[in-house]
Order: sequence, then structure tokens, then C-alpha cells
Amino acid sequence: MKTIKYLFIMLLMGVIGSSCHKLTLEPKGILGDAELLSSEAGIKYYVAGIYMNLPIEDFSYYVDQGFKNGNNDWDASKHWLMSVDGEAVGWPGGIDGAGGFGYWPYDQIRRINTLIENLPTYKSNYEDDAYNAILGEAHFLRAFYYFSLVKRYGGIPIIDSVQSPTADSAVLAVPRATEENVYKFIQTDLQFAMDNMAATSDLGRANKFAAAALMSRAMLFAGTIAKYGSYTKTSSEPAAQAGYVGIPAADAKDFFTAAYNAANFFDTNPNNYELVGENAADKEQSYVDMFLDDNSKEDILIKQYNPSSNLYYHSYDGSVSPAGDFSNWPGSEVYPSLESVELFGKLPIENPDGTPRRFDSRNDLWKGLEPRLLADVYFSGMTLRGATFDIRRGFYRTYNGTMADAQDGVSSAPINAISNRTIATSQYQTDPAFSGGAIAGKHGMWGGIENNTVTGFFVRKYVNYRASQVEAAGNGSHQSWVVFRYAEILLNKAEAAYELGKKQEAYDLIGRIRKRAGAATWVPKGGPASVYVINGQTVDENLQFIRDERSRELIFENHRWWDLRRWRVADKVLNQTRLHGLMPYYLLNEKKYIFIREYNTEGKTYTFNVRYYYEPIPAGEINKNPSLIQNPIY
Amino acid sequence: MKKILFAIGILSLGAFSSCMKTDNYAAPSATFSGNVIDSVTGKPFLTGQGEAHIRIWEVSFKQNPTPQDIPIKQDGTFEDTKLFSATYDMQPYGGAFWPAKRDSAIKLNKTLQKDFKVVPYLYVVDLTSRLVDTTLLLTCRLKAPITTNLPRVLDIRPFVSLTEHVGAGSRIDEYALDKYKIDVNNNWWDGVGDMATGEGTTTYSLPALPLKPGRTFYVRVGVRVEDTYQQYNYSDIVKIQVP
Repeated sequence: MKTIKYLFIMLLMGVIGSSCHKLTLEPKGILGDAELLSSEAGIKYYVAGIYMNLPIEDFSYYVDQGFKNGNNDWDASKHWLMSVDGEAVGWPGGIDGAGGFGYWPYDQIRRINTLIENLPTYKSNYEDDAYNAILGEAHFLRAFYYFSLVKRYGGIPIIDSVQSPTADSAVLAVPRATEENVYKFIQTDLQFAMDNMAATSDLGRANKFAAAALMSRAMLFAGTIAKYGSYTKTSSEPAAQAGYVGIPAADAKDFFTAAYNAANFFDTNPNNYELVGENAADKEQSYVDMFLDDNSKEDILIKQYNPSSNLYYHSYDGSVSPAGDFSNWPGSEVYPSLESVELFGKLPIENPDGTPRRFDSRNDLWKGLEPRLLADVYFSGMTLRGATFDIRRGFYRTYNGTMADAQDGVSSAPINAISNRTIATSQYQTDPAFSGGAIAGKHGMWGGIENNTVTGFFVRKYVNYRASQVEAAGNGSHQSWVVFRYAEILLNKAEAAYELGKKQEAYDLIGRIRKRAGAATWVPKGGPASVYVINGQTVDENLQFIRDERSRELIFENHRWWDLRRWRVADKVLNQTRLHGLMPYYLLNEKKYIFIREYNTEGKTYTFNVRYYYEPIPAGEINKNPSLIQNPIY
Repeated sequence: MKKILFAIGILSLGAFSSCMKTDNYAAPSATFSGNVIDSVTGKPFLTGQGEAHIRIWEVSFKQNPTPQDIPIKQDGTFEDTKLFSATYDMQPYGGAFWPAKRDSAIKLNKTLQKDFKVVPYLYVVDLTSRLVDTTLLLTCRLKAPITTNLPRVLDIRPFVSLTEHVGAGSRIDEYALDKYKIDVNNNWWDGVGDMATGEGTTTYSLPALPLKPGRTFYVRVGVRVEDTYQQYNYSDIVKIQVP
């Protein structure tokens, strides 16, 4: 019993005595400001984390789930922007995901604010240039985050200092700034970055030209929203009355000028950026290779995936070409629409009298088309990784009629009667009338959306043709995503120049883009007709061509969705829209091929509701901060 | 041994049961209903199922609460039987009518019946329908109760359904294709209609609609203006029996 008593007293003493230890010791496993902000090596670690989370809409961007950091995102292709905006047909449709995913990255912005606020403490550790460059980079990164927010929500709270968690809740609940002021805040940050950053940088890290690139893009957004956006302070919606959505029309000119000047920054400051392959002998190959070359002179900022450590990877190659012949898994699920292919010009599939042109071989269609188009899209008969794309929907016994007689391929059209047209419902289905083997081509279209095209095309841009069929698999691709490239700068400049009335300069810039692409020379119209009237502003044919050139050059690079939104034409372009495909058919009696314009075999309709011009402010944030006012129509 | 296990079992049962709490707050049971009236004609406002809402904010506790939307039915009525008795702000919202004012601090105590008045942007009037064989030909004219500052008129579309609940949310998609619509795309004062009387100048003939024989269709025509919501103002519904 005594022993127990002693034991108990000792235990008690142990417990009571231990509380005398100090608890304010610095933890040894955590790097603080002193370690990270006091040297360039430390800064590199610090910003690496910020770059990692930078809102870049790349191969692994999910429209409805957001940004992923390159780990096991093999089903990203089911959520790509390109199949929401009509560039391609894929899993999502009917504008799934247009309401966003509640993006609210103020934790990341806080990290940047910490850097900006605390770096001056360690100023003596740095040369002046290096110090300014770091501060400039921090402002660029902050602008990048704010731009990703303002393009989704309109005005959002501007937090430009490190908030204290113990501050009064009234201080912490910052209301939204107006959309105009957020763009002006971005402009100030980027101007600071352009003035202070270095001219060159490590691969994957931004320099002052990346800041100028973002400036020209963001200011162009602001200019078009001011000009074409319809929300004003006299609207009935509270968010519009407060200016959280909508920019005064009077500001349009200033923002366009800022976009133009930022693009001009490349002309007034020495650099090595260029349009790659302006004089290339093989423009198609040169354009294809440009997207696979990390050191391309066209790239201003890239996001790298790392093949050596196998930590960061994506699934692009496994997701755009059919499994089996071209890739390993998960297989293709996204296909370019005929609408995007014919942005490059009407395909020569019709005779002057309206009848479908007869081809001896399917390959005769694409020979001689614009090299840039061929570098973006695979047609039937083109080759990849040693295999050839074989696309056919079926056969006609005879075709005595015009293209219009096919009525977009619906089975109720007389010419498409079962007695005349045969289409496959499974991959290797055969028919006695057709002795050439399977009714459909090996890679489409025979039903479903996986591993066979529903439009007659496959995506080629960014495809790493050097990878083998086995390597082209989910979680196995490592090509870099280009965040900014020089062609976009010229396109930004052309659009801003046209909006500012510098029309000839815009035409010359478009001419340069088209020459590099190997496209036919464009002759602007003397008296251009009106294409759209948006918010009382006329969009004429020449401006539309400049916009279309942007869509052509930047196709599949996740620009079009945002462009359609800022031009405020998304509800007109995607309005009960059923995307088309180009279906190759064999003609039994003539032993020739014809191509018919048809609805894609997936059959979704796309309708953009006007409310999607702004995404809803996440409800959870409104609960936390009651001063946030919701966007219109939510 | 068995006894101990049994005891542990009983004890753990007790341990988990302590996690449960009964929600003893009464379920929402107050009813709010009413009609949305066209204040010009005095008749129910013509809309489609769920294309306009009564937006309510429960302001008892919060200044900026998340709104709830009660859909307005096709006949202009609305009803919600699962609300809390509380104080609400209310406003007809999101439909094809001129912005309506927000009524503040309305008390809902078990039941409330309240009518709202709105002014539609446009009427589709003089609707005629003619069946040639199995093809339906429609003509109509527009009329605006208020012409000053009327937003730009966008387009006129037919809506076809096999049920009488026809509208933008309930229709046969095939007839919603662009080839069956008329683009007006013009301001009222640029020749669409008369500013003083509000009468439309043009009688629009819609593109011919090929219908299937032996069925009964319900058809109405809608017109949109370029306001924030871009919803349709509808004509009355016509019943078409295709022989």
C-alpha cells in the first residue's frame, strides 16, 4: 500500500512539475520569415509554393472543380473548358460548370501579402536590383490571383495587407470593391511589376514581360467589359447599382489604351521573343513543335511538369487520341467541332451546285489546307505514333442530291433512309452490302463518345507525337503548358488597336499572325457590315475577323470561353446550339468518298444563360462575410 | 471473458448514443401564396413554369441574407408551404417584366396571401395559326405597354409541346432551333413599333413548323428583350390538332 502511495505522489509531482516548462519555444521544424525571406534561395522556396497554386487553366483544369496540381487527374478531359465553350464536343455540355466552383484563394493572396509586407525587413541582405525584382514578382503574382477572381466574379474584396486574425470582425469583413477598381488595382500591381522585375528569369518563373503580357490581357478584358457589358448603376440589381458588376463605358478607352501600351512594352524594351516559324519551310511541323519546346522563343511564361521526378504529370496524350492504336488509357473523349474547324475557312466539300464533292480518297480533303489548322486538328488519314486515323460513319448506296438534302444527318431525311444509308452502331459491325469490312472507321464514328470521334476530327495541338503509344497514357504526359505566348500579345494589341481606331495597325498585326500560320492573306472589307450589336455597340465584320483570328490562333488553349464571355456574345453564339461534325461516307455505286455536314453524334445542345457572365459569389463566403452582395440573377 | 465483452458492448453503446441530439426545432410550416397580376390588363401574368420568381429574403436575423426563390407557375400563381413564420422582404424577380419594387418587412404568420403587380415588357397579340397539311403557320404582332427605354427587342420564337405546360422550360427541343425563330434585334423606336400607342408595326410570320400527323400540340409564341434576365413574354396557348 505504501508503494502505491509513493508511486501516486511521484506521478502527481511529475504531472504538476512538468507544467513549469516553457511553451514559447520556437518550433524547429518550421521555416519562418527569417529563414525564407532573408536570402534569394529562401525566396525561391517561398514563391515556388505560390506558383504551384497559381490559377493557370492548363491540362488539369476542371471547369466544375477547379485547379489541380498535377496528381492523378486522369479524368480532367471530362471537365475541360474546350468542351463547354463549343470548341469541341466532350463530356460536359449544355454549359455544365459555367457556375464555377466557388474559387476563393485569399489564403494564397495572404502568402503574397506576407512577402510584400515583410521583405523590407531584410532589404540589407539583397542588392537593390534583386530586391526590386522579388518585390515586382510578388506584385505580378498578386495581380495574377486578382485577375483570376475578377474575371469570374466581377468586383471582389481587395485585400492588400496581411489581416490580423484577432482584429475586429467589422474590419475583417471587407466588402466587395467595384469591378472597375479591381481592374485598376491589377493595373497598378502590374505596372509596379513591369517597372521592377528583371528582363529574364528561370524557366517557369515570371519576368517583366510576363507582367506586361498579363497586363495586356487583363486590360483588354476590362476594356471590352466596359464597352459591351450592359450592367450600369441604374440597373435594378443591387450588385450592379453598387458597381460590383459592370464598368462605366467611359473607361473603355483608357483600358484599351493600357492593353495596347502593355503590348507595346515588347517593342520598346529589348527582348528575344518572336513569332516562331515565320519563315519556316514546313509551317505545319514548326507549329506543332512550338508547343512541345520548353525553350521556344514564343513562350513568355510556361508551367512545367517534371518528367524526371515523376511528381507532376498530366494526362493530355492519353485523353485526346483513341486508346489502342494511339494511346494507352483513359482514351479520347474530346473532339473538335466542325464549327471550330470551319473558323479556318469553309472546307472544300461542296460543289458549286450544292452537291457533295466526290473524293477518291479521304486524304484528298485536307491536303493543301491551312498548315495551322492541320497542326491543331487530326483529319482522317493523318498519322500519329505509327498508326493512321481511320474515320467513316458508314456508306450510302447512292447520293443523288445536295448537301442540304442530308438535313444535318437526321434519320428522317429521305436520303438517309435505311434502304440508302447504313451507319454503324458498334465498332466492328459489318454489312453484306459493304464488302470492305467494318461499316465504320476504326476510330469513329460508331457510337458513344469514348475512343471514337463524334465529329470526324481529333485534337492535335499539344499532342506529344514523340511519345510512344504506351507512354501516351493517363498520368504520363509532361509537356509544359504555355501561359503566355508572343502570338497572344500581338492579338491583344490588334484587338485593342482596332477598338482604339488604329485600324491599319490591327490589320498589319493580323497579317503577321496569318503569315506565320501559312494562312491565306486577309483583305479587310472597305464597308464592313454589322455582325452583332451588343449593348448598343456595333461589332463589324473586320472586328469579328480579328476576334475570329484570336479564336483560331489560340484554339484549345482555354481562351475562347473567357473571350466569348468578355465580348458578351456567349449567349448569342451558344444559344440552343447543336455542334456539327464532318462525317465521311463511302458511296457504293460511285466508289468514292463524300463528306456530309451533320450534327455530332453526341447530340447535346449548348445554351449560355446571361447570368453566367458572372459566377455566383460562394454562399459560404457570404455567410462568413454578410457585407458581400450576391451577383445578379443568382 | 464473455461477460467483459458484453459489458464493453453495452458501455460503448452508451458512449455512442451520447453523440445524438434531437433537433427539436419545429419544421417550417408557414404557407405563402398569391398571384402575380399584370397591372395593365388586370389578368394573371403569362409566363412559363419557373421562368420568373418571387424572391424573398428573411430579414428577421440578418441584413444581407441569402434569398430564396419561389417559382411562379404558368397561370401566374405561386405557393410555398415550407417557410418559417418570420419577417420577409419580397420582390417579383427574374422574369420578363419591368423591374418591380421590393416590399420590405412583410410579416408571415402561418399563412399569407399576397398578390404582386408587374408590367410585362411586351405582349404577343393577334396570334393566328393556320394548319396547311401538317405544317403550322403562325403570325403575330407585338405590343408594348411601356415604350420609353424599352430594352432592345431580341427575337421571337415558337414553343411547341405535347402538354399544355408549354414554355421555354417545357418544349420539344427540335422546334427551338434557330431556324424557327425570327431575329428582331432592334430598338422599339427604330421601326419595331409606335412610341405613342405601343402598337407593333410589323406582323411577323414565323417560319413554317412541320408537325407530326395524328397528334395534338400546344403552341405559344414568345418574345424576348435584352434586359438582365432575357426571359420570354408569351402569347396565349393555342391547341393544334393535326389530323
